[in-house]
Amino acid sequence: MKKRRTLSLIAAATLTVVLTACGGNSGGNAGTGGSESGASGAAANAGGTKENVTITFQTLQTDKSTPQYQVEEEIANNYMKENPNVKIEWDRLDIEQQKVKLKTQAASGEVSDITMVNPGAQLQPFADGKVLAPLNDMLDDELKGTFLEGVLDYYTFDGNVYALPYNMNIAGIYYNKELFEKAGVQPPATYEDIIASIPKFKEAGIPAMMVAGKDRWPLSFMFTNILQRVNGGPKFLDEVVAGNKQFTDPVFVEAIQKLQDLIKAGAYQEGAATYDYNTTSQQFRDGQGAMYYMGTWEVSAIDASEAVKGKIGFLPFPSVGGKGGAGDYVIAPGTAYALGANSENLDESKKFLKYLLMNYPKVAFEKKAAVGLAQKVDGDMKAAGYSQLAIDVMALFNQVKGGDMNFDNVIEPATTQVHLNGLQSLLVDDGVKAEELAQQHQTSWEASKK
Amino acid sequence: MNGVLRVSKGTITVFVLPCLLFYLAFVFAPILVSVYYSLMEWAGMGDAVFIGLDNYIFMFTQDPIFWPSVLRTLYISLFSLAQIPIAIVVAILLSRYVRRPNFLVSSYFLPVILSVVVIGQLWKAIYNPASLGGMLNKLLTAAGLDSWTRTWLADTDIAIFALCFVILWQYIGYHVLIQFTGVQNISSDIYEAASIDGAEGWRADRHITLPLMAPVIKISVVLAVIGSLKAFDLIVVMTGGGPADSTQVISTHMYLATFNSFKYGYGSAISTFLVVFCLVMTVLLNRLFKRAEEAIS
Repeated sequence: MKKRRTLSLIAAATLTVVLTACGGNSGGNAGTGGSESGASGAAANAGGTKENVTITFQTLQTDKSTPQYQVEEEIANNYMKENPNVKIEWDRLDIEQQKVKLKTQAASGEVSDITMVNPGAQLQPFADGKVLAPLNDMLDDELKGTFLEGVLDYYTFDGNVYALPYNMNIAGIYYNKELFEKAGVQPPATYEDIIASIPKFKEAGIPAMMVAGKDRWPLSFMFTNILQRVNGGPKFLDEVVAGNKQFTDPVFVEAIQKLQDLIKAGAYQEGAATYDYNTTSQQFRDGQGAMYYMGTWEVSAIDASEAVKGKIGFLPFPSVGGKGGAGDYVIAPGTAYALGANSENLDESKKFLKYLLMNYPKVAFEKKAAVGLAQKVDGDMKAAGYSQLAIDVMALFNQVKGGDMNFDNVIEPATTQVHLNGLQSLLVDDGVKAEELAQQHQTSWEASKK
Repeated sequence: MNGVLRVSKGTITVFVLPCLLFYLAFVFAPILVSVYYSLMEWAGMGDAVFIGLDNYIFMFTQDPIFWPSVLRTLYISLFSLAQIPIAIVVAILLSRYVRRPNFLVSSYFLPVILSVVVIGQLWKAIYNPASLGGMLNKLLTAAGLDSWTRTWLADTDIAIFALCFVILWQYIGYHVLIQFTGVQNISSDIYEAASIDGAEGWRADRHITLPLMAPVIKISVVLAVIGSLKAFDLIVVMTGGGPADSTQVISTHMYLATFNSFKYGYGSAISTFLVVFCLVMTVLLNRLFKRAEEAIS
C-alpha cells in the first residue's frame, strides 16, 4: 500500500514537471511572438503595431527553372521584405492535383487565401458556390488599366470579378522548319494542305503532328479551332449556351468529321492516345514531330531547347474548307489568382495580390517571359534579347480580332467529359460516327440543363 | 484462474471504445454521409438539391460508362484469381526444390512494396509504342513478330488486359509469400508417412498439400478479389481510365464523375454501390468457401 502511494506521488510529480515545462514553453513562445511583432511594427514605422499575418498561396508553379515560378517568388520576397509582418506560405501543386485539392477544399469551405482558377465555365461553379471572394473593390483604375482589353470579362459573373489572370495565350501551330525541309513540304496555308502533306512526312519517317491524347484537352484545344473555322467565325459554343444552337447542328458534326479526316490520314504519332502533355511537348522540343498545335505559353520552353532553338515557326490555324478568318483564334485567357471568400486574411491578401499584379509584367519581361501575359508589357523585346519566335508571336497578339475560349471553359464540366472522351475515342477507333458523337454531346448537355 | 480471466464490463468498454469510436468516425460515418449525398444533386459546393433516387436510376439505366466499368472490375477480379494457382505452384516448387528459398521469395515480393506510380511508369515504358522506345514492341519486332506489335495502352480492346497483367505481376509475389508460408507450415512427418504409403510428388500435393492449404488459399482469394475491386491508382497512373473510357472501373468512374464532372452527388451514388458490391462479394466468397470446406471434410 505504501509502495503504491510513493509510486503515485512520483507519477504526480513527473506530470507536474511536464506540465509546467509545457506551460513555460508556450509562455516563451508568446513572448518572442510579441517582441517580433513589436520589432516589425517599428521597422514598418507605420502608426501602431501590425499583426502578424500568414498568407497561404496555392500556386501551380512547381518548377523552379521556369520564369513563372521565379516571377512569383521574386515579387513575393520583395513584398515580405517591405512588409515584415506578412509571411507568404507556398502550397505548390501540379495542375491536376491542384484542381482536385481546390474542389475538395471548396467542398469543405477551406479554400487557401490565394488560389488559382481557370476562366469561364470552369470558374462558374466556384463563383456560384460563393467560395471565392469578389474582387471589385480592389480593382481600382490603376490596376484595371494594366490588363489587356476584355480579358477580365472571362472572369466576371453578374458584374463581379472573381479572379485576376496573369497569363493569356492564343493557340496555333508550331512547325519545325528543319523537318519541313527534310520532307520537302511548304508551311500549310490551309487545313487541306496539312492533310495533303501527311504522306510526305510519312515517307520521311516523321510524325506530321504531335498530340497529347492521354490528357485529352490538347485534342479538344485544336478541335475548338476547327469548329471556329467550320462555323465561319467564333462563338458557336456560346450560341449553344444561349440555347440558339445545338451540338447536333451540321457545323459541329462537320468539325468532328474534319478532325476525323486528319486522324484517319495518319497525322498523329503512333499511339498518340498514350502520350501525356509533358512527354509530347518534350518530344516536339527534341525535334521528333513536324507540327504541334499548342498555346503560346510553349514559346519560352521552345526557346530554351538546344535541339530546336531557332528552327521553330508559329502559324495561325489555317482555314478549313475555305472557311474561317485568320484573325480569329482560340484564346486561353489563362490562369488567374482568386481569393478564398472565407479567408481571415482577405484584406491582407488583396493588398498582396494587387502588389503582385502591379509588378508582374515588369518582372516577367526581365525574365524573358513577356509572351502570353494578361497584362500590357512595355519594353523593346529585341533589345532585351528575345528570340525571333517570341517577337513573331507577340506581333500576332496585336492582330487578334476575335476568339473562342477552349471547349472546357465554355461548356459545363459533365458535357466536357463526354466531349474529351469522345474526341479521344476518335484516336483509337476508326468506326466512330460523327453524328452519334454529336448526339452524345447534346444528350449530356440537355441532362445538365434540367 | 477464473478470477484472472473475468473482466468487468467497464474494462471492456475502456479497451474497445477508442477503436470503435475511431471506426465509427472514420469508416462508418463517411459511408453514411456519402449515402446521404447520393440522394442529392450537388456540385461539391453551393446548395445541394434533394432528388431522391434519381442518381441511382441514372446509374443503372442511362449511364453508358457504368455497366461496362462494373464488368471490367469483375474482369480484374477474375484475372487476379488466376494468380493464385500460379502462386501455389511456385510456392510448392520453391519449398521443395530450392535450397535457400527465402531470397527468391523476397525478390518476388519486391514489386508489392514498390510505389504504384513507379510501377505505372515502368510498365508504361514497356507498353509504349516502338517509336517511343516501348520495350515489349521492340522485343516483338526483334523476334520477327512484327504483326504482334500493338499500341498496348491505346488499343481499346486490349488496354484493360494490359492493365490486368500489370496487377497480376505486381501482386503475385504477395500471394507466393502467403502460399509459401502455408506450405512451410505443413509438417514433413505427413509427407514421410505418405511416401511410405506410396504417395509422392504431385500425388502427395493433391491429397495432402492442397487440402491442408485450404484456409491459406481462402485468405489469398479474399485479398485478391477485394483488392481488385478497389483497383484504382495503377489505372489512374497508366491510362487515366482512357482511351475513350475503355479502362474505366467502378472506382475510377466514381473519381472522375466526382472531380472532373463536378457531380459529387452522383459520385457518392457510385461509391455507395461500390460499398454494397464489396459487401455482397465478401458474403458470396465466404459462402462458397464454407461449401468447399464442407466438401473437403
